[in-house]
Amino acid sequence: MDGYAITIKISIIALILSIFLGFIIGVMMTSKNKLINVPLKILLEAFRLIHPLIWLFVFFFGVSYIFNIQTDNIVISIVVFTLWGTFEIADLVRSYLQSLPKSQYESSEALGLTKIQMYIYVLLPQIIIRITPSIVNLATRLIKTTTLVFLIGVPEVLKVSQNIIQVVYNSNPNSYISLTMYLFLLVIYFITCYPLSLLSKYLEKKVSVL
Amino acid sequence: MEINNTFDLVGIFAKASLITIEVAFISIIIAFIIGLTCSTALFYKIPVVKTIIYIYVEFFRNTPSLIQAYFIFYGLPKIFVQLDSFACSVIVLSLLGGAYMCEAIYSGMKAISKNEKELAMAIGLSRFDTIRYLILPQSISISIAAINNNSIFLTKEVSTMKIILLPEIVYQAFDIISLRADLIVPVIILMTISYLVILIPMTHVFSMLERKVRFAEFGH
Repeated sequence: MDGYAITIKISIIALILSIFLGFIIGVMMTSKNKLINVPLKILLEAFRLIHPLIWLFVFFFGVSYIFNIQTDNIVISIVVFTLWGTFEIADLVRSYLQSLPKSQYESSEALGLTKIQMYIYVLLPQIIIRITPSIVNLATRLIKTTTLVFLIGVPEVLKVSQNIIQVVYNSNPNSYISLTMYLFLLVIYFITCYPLSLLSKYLEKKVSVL
Repeated sequence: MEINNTFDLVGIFAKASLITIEVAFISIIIAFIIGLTCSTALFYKIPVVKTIIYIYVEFFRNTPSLIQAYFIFYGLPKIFVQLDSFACSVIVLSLLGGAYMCEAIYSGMKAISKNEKELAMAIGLSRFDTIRYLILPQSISISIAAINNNSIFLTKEVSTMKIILLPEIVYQAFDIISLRADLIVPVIILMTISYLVILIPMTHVFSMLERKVRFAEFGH
């Protein structure tokens, strides 16, 4: 159960950080300035095209190699999943912001709001409700993808159950433990993710009424 | 494994990329077929089959592919046959992809108005013909973007099959680094390049395909 706590801890920290950063970067991506726009787009494509597993790997080995320091695998996994989630959310924020009618921008300009005021008081409140189902959906994906962190040695639920399997095999080589243990894991993840995906479906229906 | 110069490294990664492409290609096709069948069954609301498909889709969408792979590779041999890692990865990815494809195509089918189904009945098309000429072309045209996304997702997902010892790109990278820690930088660069080489042409082909399939909407 300790392993499960670590899985959830990584997912929640990464999700909260990436919602926060995602909104900031999403707003930045709508800017017309090419100097901000183009690098962000490249980063977005990089994080989407390349699997998080590879990013974990790159960060974990790359950072320790370049800076010659011992990397903490939990910190690294939080960083990677935060970055991954940030860009996913940023892209959502960007697409929703661009779908707002242009008159919103113009009228807030006419009211004399500064750019920051415009985003905080006018634009973001409108998209927050609409974006929630997608974020819940992303949370499900995030939880599922965090299984990968065991590859860089984080003692999360998969690693723990493998240890259990190992121990049981040593005492009794004919046991069905690998079957039951993995089935148990599948069930655990299903129980965690299924309510979330139902929630996202429910929210989607609610939002579509708006 | 002998690694004397960079060419050896490139050779290893080229081979690994081929395996990745092979697995991805086979499983995308199987997944598409599963998706088509399942969504057709859902569309006609066949009583028991509908529930089974619903459970299948939800189960595969809500559990990590990593653990699915572990379950099939290490868990099932206890009660069933031992499969090699290639067959195993294809099975996992096809089932996973099938669930996603089913979702995508079915949402396309739901977008088709009920009138059309009734019209098809009125002009005397058989059930099969209705699906073949009316429902599928339209629903695939609607959901082609989602199907493409799923295919790219599946290709990236091949890298998780490392854990069941499929010798694909990430597996080779880990393998080389565990032998030769000094090669870490070239390995990381090569690994990234291999993925870009596979995925960038893929996205281009898919966007071309999307234009082709949706020509009725684009109008050229």
